[in-house]
Amino acid sequence: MPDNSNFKANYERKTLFALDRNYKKIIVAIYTCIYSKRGNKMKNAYAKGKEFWVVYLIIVALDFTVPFLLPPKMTGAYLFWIILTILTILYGIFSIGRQV
Amino acid sequence: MKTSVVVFVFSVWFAIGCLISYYAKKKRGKGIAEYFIANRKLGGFAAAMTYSATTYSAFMMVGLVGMTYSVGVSAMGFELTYLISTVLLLTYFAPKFWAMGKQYNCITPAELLSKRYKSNLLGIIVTVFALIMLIPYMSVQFTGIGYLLQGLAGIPYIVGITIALIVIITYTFWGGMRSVAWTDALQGVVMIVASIVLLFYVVLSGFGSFGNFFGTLQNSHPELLSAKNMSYQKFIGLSIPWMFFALTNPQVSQRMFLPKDKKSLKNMVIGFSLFGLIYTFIVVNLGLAAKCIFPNILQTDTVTMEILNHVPTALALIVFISIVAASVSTVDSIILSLSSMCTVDIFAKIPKANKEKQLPFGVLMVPTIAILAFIFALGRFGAIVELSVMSSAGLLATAPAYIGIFWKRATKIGAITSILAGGTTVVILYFTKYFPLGIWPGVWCAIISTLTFILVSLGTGRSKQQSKKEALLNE
Repeated sequence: MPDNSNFKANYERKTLFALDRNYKKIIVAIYTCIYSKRGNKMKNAYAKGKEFWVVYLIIVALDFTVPFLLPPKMTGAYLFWIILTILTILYGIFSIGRQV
Repeated sequence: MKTSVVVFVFSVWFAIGCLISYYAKKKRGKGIAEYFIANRKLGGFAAAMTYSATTYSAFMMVGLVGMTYSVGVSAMGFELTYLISTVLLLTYFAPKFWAMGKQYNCITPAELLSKRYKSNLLGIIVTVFALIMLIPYMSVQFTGIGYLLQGLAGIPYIVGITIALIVIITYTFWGGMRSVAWTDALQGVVMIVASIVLLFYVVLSGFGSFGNFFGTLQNSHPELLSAKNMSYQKFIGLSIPWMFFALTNPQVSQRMFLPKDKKSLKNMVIGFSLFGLIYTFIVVNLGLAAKCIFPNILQTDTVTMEILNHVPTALALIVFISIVAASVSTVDSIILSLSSMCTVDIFAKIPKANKEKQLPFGVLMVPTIAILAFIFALGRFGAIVELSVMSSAGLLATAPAYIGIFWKRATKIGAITSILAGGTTVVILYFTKYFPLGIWPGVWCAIISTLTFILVSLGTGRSKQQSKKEALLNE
């Protein structure tokens, strides 16, 4: 009877190595997948934060400048501030609807 | 107005409030979270109304009407700037604060800061800071009710503020947040309905129609429609501290923890936005109408009283109740928030503090804080007005710490130093009356506390790479 112990050992070593390699591949694949999703999630959160502060600064800048350039009429600062508030509330409703 | 009539109407309003409060007490569950934040189970309507009634105090019907009478639409700009900023901040921060409050079981905004920055000291500082800034502010509300009862019904000042104290303690002490929120809902409805009826009465009786009113305004008083009636520096100086009110004032930021679910939270934000817009529009137009009808009033704080002297008694009484309701709803919310902060952020942090004693301590703090504000109002100290004026500017010092919750490199030392630096700046500038470069203390507070927060956090925090590695590991 041929001594196959060497072959068996080799076979086991190779199989295990292959399994190990596959396992590593799978782990790397899962990790990459999760990581990229998380990465996207982080990027999305960052983008949302950035978008909020950009919108905030634009609205505040408009609020602090435009009314002071308008003539003293009902269609001047009075109407502008009301319209700006209504638009902000509409943006707020839309924005919070997206978030919750 | 006859004293007996005022007392009767006031008693009816108080009795209805007591019934609501008693019902809230019966519905009240056990535990500290139930007492201070209604166990995070408020519906959208109640949350919206308590947020609105807490935010809008007697300043609207007394102060803003007079301010509009004096400077025209600039006053509206100042108030709408506050509303615009609050709506935007709520849109972004409310869902986050609500989720974090639920996840980390936070009862007070200061506790949220403590947990985020891992510093009990920060919670204690924020609580002490809020006590220093808000007790004088509350005492001014007491003073307002006292003067109102004295002016309208001839009730002595001391009796007036004692009545206010009894009403406030009753609404708060019994049922905690549930009682405050439900009575606030009633008071919010009274505030908005009374102001709408008053505006319609004043415009229709004084001008015939809204078209005539706007026409008269443009033709006879065009100067009121200019935004330049208030100096630009004053406009910025007044507006900036109020812009971050939603984050810096614990009585309103705590309300972000109250809604029972995301839908209620959304309804709270929408409800408050609409309430704020309608109420501001009404109040500002009352001021503008008063300027057209009574152009020679010298003391602007008496404009509302002048209007009330010219409307039917029943309407005047409803408006009077709405002004008292606005004060009461603001003060009871502040008292409950400060009590919760004293309990959660100071008492609970004492080593070997008995957990079972937290609720009795918190309940006891309600009358204690109310009486403290009452004593301030009783003394009528000159410094109270200064302190209450600077409260919004002073609390602005906490804004960077709240906004920095989402900044990975923010540190507890940065948060603590920014609050101390901003707060000290405001106190020094207000008491010395020195406004460098003509810029108001609130703006200096915002600049100094923000810079301190960023620089100290960068100086004391980990490097960017370390923060990234930590963030990845945490992920």
